[in-house]
Amino acid sequence: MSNLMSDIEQQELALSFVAESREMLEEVEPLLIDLEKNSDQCGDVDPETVNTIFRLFHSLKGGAGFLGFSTVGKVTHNAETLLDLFRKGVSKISSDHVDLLIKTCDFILHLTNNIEDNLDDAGFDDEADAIIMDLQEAISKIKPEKQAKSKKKNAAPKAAQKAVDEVNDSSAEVPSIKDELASLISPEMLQQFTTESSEQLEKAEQALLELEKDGNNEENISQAFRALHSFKGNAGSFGYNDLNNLSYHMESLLDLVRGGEIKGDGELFSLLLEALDSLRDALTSLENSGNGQIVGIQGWISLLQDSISERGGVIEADSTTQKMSEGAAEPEAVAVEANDELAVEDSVTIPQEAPVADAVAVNPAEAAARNERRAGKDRRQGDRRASSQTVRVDVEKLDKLLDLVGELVISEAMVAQNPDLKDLNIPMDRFERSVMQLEKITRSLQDIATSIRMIPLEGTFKRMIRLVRDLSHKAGKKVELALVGEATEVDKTVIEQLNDPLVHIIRNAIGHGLETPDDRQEAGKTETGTVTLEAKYVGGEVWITVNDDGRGLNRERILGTAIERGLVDGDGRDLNNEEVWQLIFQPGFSTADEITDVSGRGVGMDVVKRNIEHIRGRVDVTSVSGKGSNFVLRIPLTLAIIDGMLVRVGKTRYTLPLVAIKESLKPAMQDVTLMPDGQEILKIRGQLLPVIRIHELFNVEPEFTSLDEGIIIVVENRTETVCLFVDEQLEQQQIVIRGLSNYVGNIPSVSGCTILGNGEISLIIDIAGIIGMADGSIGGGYQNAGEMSTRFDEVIASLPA
Amino acid sequence: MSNQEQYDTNTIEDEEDTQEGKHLIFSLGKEEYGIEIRNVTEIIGIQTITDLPGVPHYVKGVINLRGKVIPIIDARLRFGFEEREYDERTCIIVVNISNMAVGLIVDSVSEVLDISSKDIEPLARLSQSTSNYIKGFGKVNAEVKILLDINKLLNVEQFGGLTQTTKE
Repeated sequence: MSNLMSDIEQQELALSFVAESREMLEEVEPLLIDLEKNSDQCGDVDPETVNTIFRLFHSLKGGAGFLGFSTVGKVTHNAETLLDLFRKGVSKISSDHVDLLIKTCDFILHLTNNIEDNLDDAGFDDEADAIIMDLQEAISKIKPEKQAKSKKKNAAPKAAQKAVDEVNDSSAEVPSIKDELASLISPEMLQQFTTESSEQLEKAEQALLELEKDGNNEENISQAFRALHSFKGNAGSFGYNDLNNLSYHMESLLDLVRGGEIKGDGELFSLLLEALDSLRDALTSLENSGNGQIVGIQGWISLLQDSISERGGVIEADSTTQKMSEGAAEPEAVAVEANDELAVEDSVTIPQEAPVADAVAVNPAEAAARNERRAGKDRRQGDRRASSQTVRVDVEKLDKLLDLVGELVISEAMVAQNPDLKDLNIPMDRFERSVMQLEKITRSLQDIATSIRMIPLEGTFKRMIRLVRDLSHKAGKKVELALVGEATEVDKTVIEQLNDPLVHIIRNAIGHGLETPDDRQEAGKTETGTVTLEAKYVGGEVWITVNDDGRGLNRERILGTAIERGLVDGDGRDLNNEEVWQLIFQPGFSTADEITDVSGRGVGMDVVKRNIEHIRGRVDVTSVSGKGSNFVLRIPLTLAIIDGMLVRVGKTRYTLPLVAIKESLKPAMQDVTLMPDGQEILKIRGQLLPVIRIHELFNVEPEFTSLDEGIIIVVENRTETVCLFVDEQLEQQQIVIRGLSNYVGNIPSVSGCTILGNGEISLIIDIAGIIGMADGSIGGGYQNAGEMSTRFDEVIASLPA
Repeated sequence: MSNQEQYDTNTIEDEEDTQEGKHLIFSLGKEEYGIEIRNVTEIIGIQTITDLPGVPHYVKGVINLRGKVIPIIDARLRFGFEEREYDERTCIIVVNISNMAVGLIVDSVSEVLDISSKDIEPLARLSQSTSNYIKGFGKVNAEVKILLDINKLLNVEQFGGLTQTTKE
């Protein structure tokens, strides 16, 4: 195998196997936890969930087998065998089983990491053996029942289908009729079969292609039907159940169209064409001594059945269907007939299968579809097709692309605002038109480049399911995790920075926030605490909220610790709640009496703040004693490029984020009030707003010092509105944000800088930062935007009406 | 002095193996100083510096070096010397430390000297406490050059940003 792996192509295959495996494992984990929850609650498990998990493991095994990763293959094979027992209803799934399967997932993940580094999964035999032992022990505990049952059913086609699965495993335990049948097929026979079948598929394809254009041509319907019918018969006689099964369903669908029971439309025929492609893929695999199985066959069948019921057709649940469909298809077929509502439920699970069926990639849109049940149904087919048009791209290339787009925006500004143009003194109409066109294209390009990097938060959110499960077990608390808006998309960089903060906040919520079941009952709450993880767009930001219904933050305790550590002068009575909550973000801050596995070491919340600030976001905390606490991570949507307004102070040009600007005006001196502490207040339409002189804040020489000579720019930051005094307001411009070098670190009043058309560097003013800075609280170590407004409330109250 | 070369504003080539012991010599006031050449990426003339608020006084601001934003340190201010008007001899030595580019303003750059370790005299214990960024004295013929540890000089060990360390 190591010889094979030296090949670059093999390396790529291995890496894409790693990527796909991780996606699958990520998908399996929440499903397993879901299973555990359901079986805890009502003892029943959702057969569809078990099936999905089974299929994911099966695909993992297939991939591993193909690439020769024998350890992964061995482990997944055993896990699959165990799952098969649950799938067949031989045994109920218990918490221990879930633990074991999760452990298996972890191990496989570990193996994929190794594969990524070494392109090999060897050297883990001991661990693998231990897990396989556990799995086999679990299997053998169930087995006596299983063997009795499988003996009874041995002659049934259902058992035969199962046997097909196992024939393909080198270590298949149960010998079967299929085995014998397979040995009867000679290579010549196989070749004849594949050749004939290919021809039939080609015929069917041609007819379907015609039908896609004109759905009413009976001749074409019949041709497709006949071709598929022959194909089905052939496949059946050779014992290729998947081929037989899928073509049967395609045939039935065409039969309904032929009989006029459902109307054939383009969508329907293109679905059939796709199904046909998978038949052909399976056929190709047969030619290459594969097993003729169709990956995700149940997904295909459900899609076909849904498309019938969508169009008002009825699926015959005749004896053939019962015999043909195995496991999952049964309840589905029944459900479709019995209850339309259930059919919708079924359709929701289909997108989850799609990534398995698709060799290419997971489409984010598909993930979104999962969350919106009904909408998901309507969009499903569109998504399916879209997913086959996605490609995996190296992130570095995307980063480079975004960088280049950034450069392009700068260069565009350099050309459009080139000082040489002013010296030309000629009419510029045509030039300006061209520049406008260029601007438009650049902006579209930028939008697209940015959107490419957008990824749904789903993966990050789903990881928390596991975390919550483990933590709640450890802490002996009952916790329910609710996920809302996981389809919300954010930039890749944001995703990378989010995991740790979320882990820390959730850890704190479960460790400190939520009470034990007893305490909760005493407080008149439900035994199970709820942690809600929600994502949504608010204005130009993404808000990720972590909310718990626990006891809330303890003001006295936090203040006590802060005073002890010298973070707060005096008794801290004058600090408002928001300021107190911000104290928990101090490095090493912990109020926990004892350090537990779950939390208490005091590392963590500062990580939250640091990571979020790194992506120019901020953390808002609210908390109500006895009711719970709420953390909002507010992150700007676009990280790299914003609309800015250039302002001039003396010789320096600063940039203000356009979103923050409310208006600009020339103030009249009679509207200005000078407070005893030197603070100027400007009255604008009855509102009293503090004035911040940028030249004082940044210590530069201004052109004007009198407020009525320069210009006032009114900016707002969430709750506060302030006036900035500058010399002149210049033009509005798209700017590319650059960091101020790690060497300098964070400057509270500056969120970054940008390079202007003439090469000059312009600092981007951080509105929230200067409000805090003018307030003098930044130096204190915690950012405070709240105090300003409180202070001005007092000031305003004291002013004569 | 065969390996003595005159460096003006040219980029210094990366030649790892031949850089051992090579020091870039620059002057500040009366004395001459040396830093190891492997840290130096280029030497440029003085240019427009954008002021930064809330940073230590020796951080003069940032410059735009071919699209990269680079912070600039004034070596005179860093040593606590008197500030002096920049002239045509004033240079910015761009060094790369811990993957960050930082510019160092010096009065002038003179030459590149080979100073092997046997010619470097460690700092007397007495003065060590006050100036830990001085690595030793390089003896070249009759002259003495003060060799600097650029990492310590630029406070890199306090990684995570200068603003963090100066607020306290």
